[in-house]
Amino acid sequence: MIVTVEKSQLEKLFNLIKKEYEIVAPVLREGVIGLSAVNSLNQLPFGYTEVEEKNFYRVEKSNDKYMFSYIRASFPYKRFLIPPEFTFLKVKRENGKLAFEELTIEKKYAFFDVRGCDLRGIEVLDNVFLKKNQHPDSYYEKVRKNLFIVSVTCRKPSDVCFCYSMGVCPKPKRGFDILITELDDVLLLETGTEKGEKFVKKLDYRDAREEEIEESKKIEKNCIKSLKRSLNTEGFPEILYRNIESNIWNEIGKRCFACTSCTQVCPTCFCFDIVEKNNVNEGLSERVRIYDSCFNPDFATVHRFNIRESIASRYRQWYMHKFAYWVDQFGEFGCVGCGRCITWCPASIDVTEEEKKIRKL
Amino acid sequence: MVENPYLLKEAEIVEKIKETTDTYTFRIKCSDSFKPGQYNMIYYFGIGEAPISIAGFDGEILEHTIRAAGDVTSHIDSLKEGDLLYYRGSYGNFWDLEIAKGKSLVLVSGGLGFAAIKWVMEEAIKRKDEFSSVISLYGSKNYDSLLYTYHYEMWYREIDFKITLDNPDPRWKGDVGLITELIRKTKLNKDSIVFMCGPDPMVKFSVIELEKKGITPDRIYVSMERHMKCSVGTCGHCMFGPFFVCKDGPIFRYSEIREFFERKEV
Amino acid sequence: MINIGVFKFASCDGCQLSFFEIVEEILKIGDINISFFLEAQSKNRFDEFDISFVEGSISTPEDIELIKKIREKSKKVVTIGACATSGGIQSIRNYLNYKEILEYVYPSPEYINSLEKSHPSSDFIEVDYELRGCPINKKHLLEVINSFLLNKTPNLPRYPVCLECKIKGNPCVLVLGKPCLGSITVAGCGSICPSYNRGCYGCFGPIEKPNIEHLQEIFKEKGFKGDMFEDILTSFNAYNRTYREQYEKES
Repeated sequence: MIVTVEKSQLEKLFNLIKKEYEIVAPVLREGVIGLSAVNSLNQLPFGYTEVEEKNFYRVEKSNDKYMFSYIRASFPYKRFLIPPEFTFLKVKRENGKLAFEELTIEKKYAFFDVRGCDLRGIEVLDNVFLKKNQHPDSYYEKVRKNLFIVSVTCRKPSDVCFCYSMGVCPKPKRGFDILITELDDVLLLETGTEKGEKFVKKLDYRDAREEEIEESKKIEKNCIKSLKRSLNTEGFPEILYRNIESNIWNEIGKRCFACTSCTQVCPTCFCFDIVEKNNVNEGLSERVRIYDSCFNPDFATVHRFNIRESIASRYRQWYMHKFAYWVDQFGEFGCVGCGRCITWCPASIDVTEEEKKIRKL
Repeated sequence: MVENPYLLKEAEIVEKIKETTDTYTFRIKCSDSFKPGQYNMIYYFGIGEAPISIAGFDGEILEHTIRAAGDVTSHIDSLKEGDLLYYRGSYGNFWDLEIAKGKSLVLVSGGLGFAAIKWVMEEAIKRKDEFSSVISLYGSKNYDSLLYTYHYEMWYREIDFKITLDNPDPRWKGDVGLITELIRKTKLNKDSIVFMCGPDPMVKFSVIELEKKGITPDRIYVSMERHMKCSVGTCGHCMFGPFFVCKDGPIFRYSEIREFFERKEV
Repeated sequence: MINIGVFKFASCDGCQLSFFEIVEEILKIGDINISFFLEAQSKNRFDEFDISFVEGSISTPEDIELIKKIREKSKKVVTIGACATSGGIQSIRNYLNYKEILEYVYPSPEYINSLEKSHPSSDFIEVDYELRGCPINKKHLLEVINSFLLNKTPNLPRYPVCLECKIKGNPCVLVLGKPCLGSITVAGCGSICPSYNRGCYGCFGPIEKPNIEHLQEIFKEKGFKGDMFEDILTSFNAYNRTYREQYEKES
């Protein structure tokens, strides 16, 4: 259904969802928009916006009248789907026999305000962990199954965004339970599932008018027009494969710190390590999953020999995975154009600039 | 509901055979299903898991040959007959003997890589009438690091089984030299199908020798070793070019991986 | 029963204090006998050790003899902290004129019998594991003890602070405009400083391939003043192998 509600109805929607879910939403904390469990709609950073550039981030008061004046959190929702560190198996040893206790993540989250890029990011992770994997991940599945998604159309992009290049639209077409587009005077609500419809029907709504739908399309068009960055994906995987031995990787390797930041702020980077946490005296051992990164010097070791010794080769692995290998693995790009890796790279490396250089090789 | 891919299964070690000073073959009672070329993740309490190729299975007894190379494998090698072993699997693709039907099957292995070849070799022996010939070339560093010596007599009898030692030894009367020399010396048909497992440099140079004999890379299948942690294609550690070695492999057609295999740091 | 020795050379004693923080855990393990630990007990025996923990840098000729003796008598030698691992803050002198400093600090320098340089233990003996930090993280102490009991390699990070910082969900303080060495510093501290909105000053010492040159450029671009970069680089871990090599290459 596509309906219109007064802006004041947003709080009612929030509270209805809150009754059934733990809501995770963008919040402003110490000058940075992050993600957190929230209790009230007031905790969202309405009236603020972020200024983002390569290796630069600042939040300031927005000079428009819109609630959804900010753009997106500084890190993606993935840490709520796969926690950065969690025990997945407890092992107890008694009389030479092992007993296993399987731990599951009992969470019923509603993500309130997922932008197009992050929604696409969740879709990409779905393919990695569930849909295109012959051994689906039961931990991911459990959280994902209970997940409720409220999406929001972007009115404007940040200066690092290049979503449209990666096939992501500022106004999402699928994957949400409810989509909110903030118009000048009202909110346009679109539902993607019955679950979403159930909530919207409890609001004080009316059918959307033709001109309101038009307005939402215009917002999207304007947003796309204001994008400052782009990445040309046309034939890019082939170009990368052709240039796998290029000196450009060494050149980037001189700038990259292998700090792992890009992988951690990326909505699709999924790599993790498995470590054992031992409690010797109690005969207990926990198997723990913890975020890892292909920039970690211990990542690709075989018998303690690191296959990707140089930083250049680790950067190449990451970049080629996003823009070439992923296409072979999952039939899509591993990048959603959110631009976070550009903002949060302390070495000022910009994936879109590198694309232009690689194309000129 | 999706089944938890990390749950471990329990099996009893019924026999432990000493292969070399640091390598043992475990015979494990087990009623699972496995295929030659696949591997299991073997767990040791408090230490972790290691991917170990399946060296044999007859429907009841599973065989794993394990060298104490790291923390996990050292601990597994300390297990005794009657102890329980915890594993999950089987994982990965398998050696497909159908490809070699009617042709000459050539098995090439080096070092512990022989453990990943042994079972398919035994299967090939059982079905040797289906192939024009079965040749197995195995390179070992030293006399003392030879694996499965107690089977040699039978293998010599059944197929064209050849061993070469990197280092000469007074106790050794056979070939001495690298596996590449043994390949060079052996008469091989152009239309042979090759199954290979060994360290990366051995594979690379063996392929060159095979190519000199007219065996093209599309006829060569290689079992690879990478850092496998989850073995279900999600932790990312074993990634190799566009492949997850854990689930797309460990066996690859060489023509499909060559561009990555022969490059540094992929 | 495992036998532990705790030794001290030129240092502030801070890392040894970590043992007091894990007393409860050690008591629970039970099978541990600390036979040498001057800071903690009055009865000490120097015989054979399963693990010897060494704090402090080697800075006198007697120190050299003692550290060699410790090595001889120990199955594992583990350095604890920046002094024992990288020479400590006192190794700033390694890059300056020793004589001048000696005369500046002591009214009668002729009584001082110290080495010209402040050395990490690894300059004289083979070290099994090095615990980084000023001070160390007590979790790493426990990891070493537990790993010894389990007969496994301790899990000590080699990746930079940034990974644990991001795992905690912190935004990058360098991007936000604060001088931070996290990207070239080895993790393990739990990214304490960035978690409190401060830049990392590298007390855990450098990762294996620190991209010092480019970080220096970024510091310049960000307008951080003058010698700040060198100042933090040449503090706690001034004589770390990596920085030392870099310095020797330059001079």
